[in-house]
Amino acid sequence: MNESNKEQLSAFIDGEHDGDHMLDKLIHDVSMKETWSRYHLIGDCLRDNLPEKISNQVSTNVSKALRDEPTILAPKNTKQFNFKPFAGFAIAASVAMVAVFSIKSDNDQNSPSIGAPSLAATTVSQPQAFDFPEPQVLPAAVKKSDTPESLANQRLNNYLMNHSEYRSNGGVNGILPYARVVTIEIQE
Amino acid sequence: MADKVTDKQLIDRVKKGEKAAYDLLVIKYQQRIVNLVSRFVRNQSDALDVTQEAFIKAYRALPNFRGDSAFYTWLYRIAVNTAKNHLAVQSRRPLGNDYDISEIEQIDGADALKEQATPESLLLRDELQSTVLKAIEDLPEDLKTAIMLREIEGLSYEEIASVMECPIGTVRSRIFRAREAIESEMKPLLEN
Repeated sequence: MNESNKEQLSAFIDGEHDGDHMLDKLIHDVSMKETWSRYHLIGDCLRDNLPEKISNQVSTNVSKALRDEPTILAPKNTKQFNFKPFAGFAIAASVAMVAVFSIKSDNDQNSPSIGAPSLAATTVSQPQAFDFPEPQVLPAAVKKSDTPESLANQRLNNYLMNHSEYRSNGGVNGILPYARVVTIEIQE
Repeated sequence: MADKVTDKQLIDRVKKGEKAAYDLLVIKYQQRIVNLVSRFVRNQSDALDVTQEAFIKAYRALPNFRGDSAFYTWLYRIAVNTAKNHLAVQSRRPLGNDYDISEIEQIDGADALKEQATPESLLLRDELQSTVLKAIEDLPEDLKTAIMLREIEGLSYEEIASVMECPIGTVRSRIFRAREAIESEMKPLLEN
């Protein structure tokens, strides 16, 4: 083993030399392996890491014992996609969707007489901002809860509430167990 | 940090099926682990057996080593657990119930026990230490500073270059020359 190789080995021990070529030599060259051992012994000695008696028996015996061991071939690391950051977003989006649709459908049901202009009648010349329809104020004389339509809505609401309650306890995977069904009822 | 880089390269090789790379890790850490185990297991030959067992366990568990911690930290834990298990087994063994000779033949590491019977083959720590310290004393100041900053303070070459106000290449050369000088003093002891 020449001086240059030994200097490279010294740097390799300190993690300051690119390893692949050095490792190949180190693994197969006995004299290099002995130098590796002595250089580490110097370090152990200076750091006071030496046992009372020094021998190379451990490495010799481990090497012998491992001859009969099956060779390690570790599987390559396959990075799994991390869904965690997106799970919260998905849940929040779903809840928002449920909330928007329930408000929208409630508005639609509560304002049946709002005359939405028919598509055929309107010509869209420029982009228009979406306006929520004004909630219609019912005449005080007519009690909303008495109409057949509102009774039907109330029954439907109750049904949905019960359904969501049981569904969340059913151990069924999906978004509904985490979402609350929200309904709006206009107060008289 | 520097240790971590070299260890990682060796571990990668072992994981690719090169058992010989593991020998280098054993050679590197054997003295440190024997020293550690000796704090738990007083008997010297038992300490060597426990160390050997710890290294074999580490080899078998290496596919599970993810490299989150340094290899030595991981190995340290394995060695401490192996030593503790050894002590637990010893404490359960009834007093006076010694191994008979046929049993010894079947124990893993029985070879080590036999080799232990020749104490003159073992080098005493104090002898080696005084030789190394003498060699360090005899070194020129720049080599002595470089090797001490590296081995005792654990500084990188770049940090040593900054402390000593010289190029990294000079640091590399000084550390190597220091090692060479110390090695030449200790070699006769090891060969004997």
